[in-house]
Amino acid sequence: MTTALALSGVSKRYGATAALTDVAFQVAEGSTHAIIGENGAGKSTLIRAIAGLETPDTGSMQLRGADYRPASLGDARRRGVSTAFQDLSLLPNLTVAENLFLPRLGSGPFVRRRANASAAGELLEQYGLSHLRPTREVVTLPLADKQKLEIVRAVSHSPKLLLLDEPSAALPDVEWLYRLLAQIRRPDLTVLYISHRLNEIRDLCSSATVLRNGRVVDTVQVTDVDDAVVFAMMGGASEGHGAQRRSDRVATGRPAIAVRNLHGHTVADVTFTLHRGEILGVAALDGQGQAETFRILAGVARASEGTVEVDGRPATINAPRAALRRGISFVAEERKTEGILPGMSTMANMTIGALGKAGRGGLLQRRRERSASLGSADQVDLSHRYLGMDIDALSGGNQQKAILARSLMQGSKYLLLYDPSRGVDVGTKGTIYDLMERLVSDGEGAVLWYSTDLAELTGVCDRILCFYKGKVIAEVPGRDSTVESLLTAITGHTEAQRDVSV
Amino acid sequence: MSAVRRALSHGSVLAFLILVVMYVVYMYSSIDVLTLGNATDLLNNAAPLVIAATGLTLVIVSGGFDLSIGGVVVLANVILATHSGSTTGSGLVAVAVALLAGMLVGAINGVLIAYLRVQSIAATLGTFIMCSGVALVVMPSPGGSVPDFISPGLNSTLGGRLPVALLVIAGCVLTWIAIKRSRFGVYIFALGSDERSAVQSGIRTANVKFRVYLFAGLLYALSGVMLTAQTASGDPNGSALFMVLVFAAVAIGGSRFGGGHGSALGSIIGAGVLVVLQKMLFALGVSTFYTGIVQGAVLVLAVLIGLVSLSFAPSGDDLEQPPSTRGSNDGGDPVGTTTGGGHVHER
Repeated sequence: MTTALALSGVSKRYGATAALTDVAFQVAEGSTHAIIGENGAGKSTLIRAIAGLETPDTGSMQLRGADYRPASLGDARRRGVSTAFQDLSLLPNLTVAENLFLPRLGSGPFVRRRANASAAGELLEQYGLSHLRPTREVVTLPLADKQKLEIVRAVSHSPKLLLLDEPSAALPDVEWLYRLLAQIRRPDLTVLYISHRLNEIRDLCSSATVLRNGRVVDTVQVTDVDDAVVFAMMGGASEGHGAQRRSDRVATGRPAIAVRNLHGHTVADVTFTLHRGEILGVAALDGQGQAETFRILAGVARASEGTVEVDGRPATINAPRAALRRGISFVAEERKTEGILPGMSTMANMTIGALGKAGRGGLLQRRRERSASLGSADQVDLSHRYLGMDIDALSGGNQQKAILARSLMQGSKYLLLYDPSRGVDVGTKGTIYDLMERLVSDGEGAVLWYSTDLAELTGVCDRILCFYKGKVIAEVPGRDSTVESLLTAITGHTEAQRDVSV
Repeated sequence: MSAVRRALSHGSVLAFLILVVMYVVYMYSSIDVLTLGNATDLLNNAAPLVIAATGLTLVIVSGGFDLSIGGVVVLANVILATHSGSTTGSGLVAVAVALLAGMLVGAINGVLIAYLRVQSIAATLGTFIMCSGVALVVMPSPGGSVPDFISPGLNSTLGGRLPVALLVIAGCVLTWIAIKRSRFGVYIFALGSDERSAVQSGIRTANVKFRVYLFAGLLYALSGVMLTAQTASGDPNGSALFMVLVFAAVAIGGSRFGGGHGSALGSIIGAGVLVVLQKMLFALGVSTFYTGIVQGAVLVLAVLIGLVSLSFAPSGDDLEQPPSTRGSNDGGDPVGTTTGGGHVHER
């Protein structure tokens, strides 16, 4: 048995964040090998490194025994490595055929449209996509077809190593994918299959490498381990934080935000109630409709159907202003693009939503601005010395504190926090927990909190909603929850605990 | 109805309709519109705009921005006015030098933007100002002269029938069609649509960007040559208004600022709209003071009509979107290879 791909000591850092640490594993030629891990475990960075899009800081990779350090995607392709990306790398304004044959598009400088179209037709036919017209613009395709096209494109380069990053994420059924993989199986074709769906991995893969926090937990033979063991390896005991247990009050307060039958692009019928005095957790893998639910409640996105009640009254939240007026404040996932106002001081970032407190008669008064922000800074445990600094200069954790302080200054009672603790240090995480606690402790405030770190959800929340495929498929009391039970639920492996009370 | 809307949302069709309407008005407002002399005159006025707009369209479709037009045009102009001597031979040398200067500026833009990752607006604003400065060094005050083959040569007709300017415009159309059908053209559209996906599709995006600015620089210089044919002299100061009109032509032609969509054919028609508008207003006896007002209004109107029809036409953007929010990759993507990422639709 020869080794198709071997990694040893591969590490990659982005600034202060370690995406991959000392990753090492081997994949046997001709096998289908799974890479498993939670969100943020480092799967995508790993894929991008093997695909030639990222250069590891340290470590080495070997392809069939030869040194492998691709300088670009094209380089990797020439070595027989091709990738179907999770975020789809199709160009929406080009046709199906053009996308399939990028970047070569035929010999010579001109594109041979007719030849390309007929070649594309054959290729599509071969892989069961004959319903796609080669001359159609990709933008008009439904998502599932785009995903299939992305996969066929990767396959069409006749790779020796095929990387499939969450290939089934957008597919309504996996039959097509199974057929395709059976069809292309050759003794010298190795497949690296990235997924969080264990049943698929059991169907397709012989071995698996489990990643957690950028490190390899273990590489196992799939038949040797049962699901519980894998979940335990994926979740692990995320170090120390979130250990404190909530009291067992469950949904006692009056309803703060009641959501009924919400529908949207990725939301398919979401119903739940956030009560006053409650920290309601949301657990989900990427893209299960939780992001859109948050954004609908924040007035950033529109629901196509469904109702939202705030404080028992029907509410139309069609803009962030409308949400703020009702006391709802949203802290978005992308701090850089949706949270901070770069180039402005930390203080200005905090007071921007509450300038009434910072001045009089439409004019800002430095002194008032400062005194107004001091209190909020204390609440979020943000050192006063940061106030005058440019917010870009702050660490991610302190930026997050400033954004939370902004929400507090706006006088919001209800916080929608979308993964606020991602990429921040343990200390800041503690501050965020404390802040949430304080906000709900008077029985008036409420927090809806999505986190990719399941351990902290189980440690802090009163209740946890599990989202899967645009629905709330399980609701778990915080004190009864474990990382394993949440993982099982959010990967769609159980229909248990389906009593979603409203 | 939806076919009409789709057609209108397709910028060049809309621009073409506007052009036809204006030309008809112009025809009825003056008696000698349809003479060869008049047509030549119109084409001569349009040619510089058409060439520059073709170049700018490439840049815009690729997702960039280019303010160096004004600089390159002036540079070409003063080079011709000071260094072309009086013979055809010396004039040809000067034309070659002017074109090389344009390519040099384009190459500088390309290096800055493609390889050093300077924002295109900043980089090209810088080269615009530098070119203006160089132009003043080359030719401190307006004046100079050019050999006959440039002016009136490039403004005249071949064999008394075929205007040179028409050939030039046809050349632009053919160039665009060739680019559209070439691999390079597909890359430009891919790059403008989504740079990250283009990279993941194996396109060497930096190389494509560089070539775009290089070629655009050449076209701006060519535009400067045609402009010099009209003025027959050099002026190191004037070019800002010309540049604005080039942008207007591209906008009227329906190219999407931001990249990924557009057509030089639309821009060429847009240039036609601006020139015919000028002529029409003149023929109607409207003072030239008002020309700018009307040109601006037509620009805004064209873009608005395009937008309104677009919002009715079925657009693939609304069909679906990926379930995973891009930019939430494992380990993050703090290097910033994504531009904003694909968040949940904001509508």
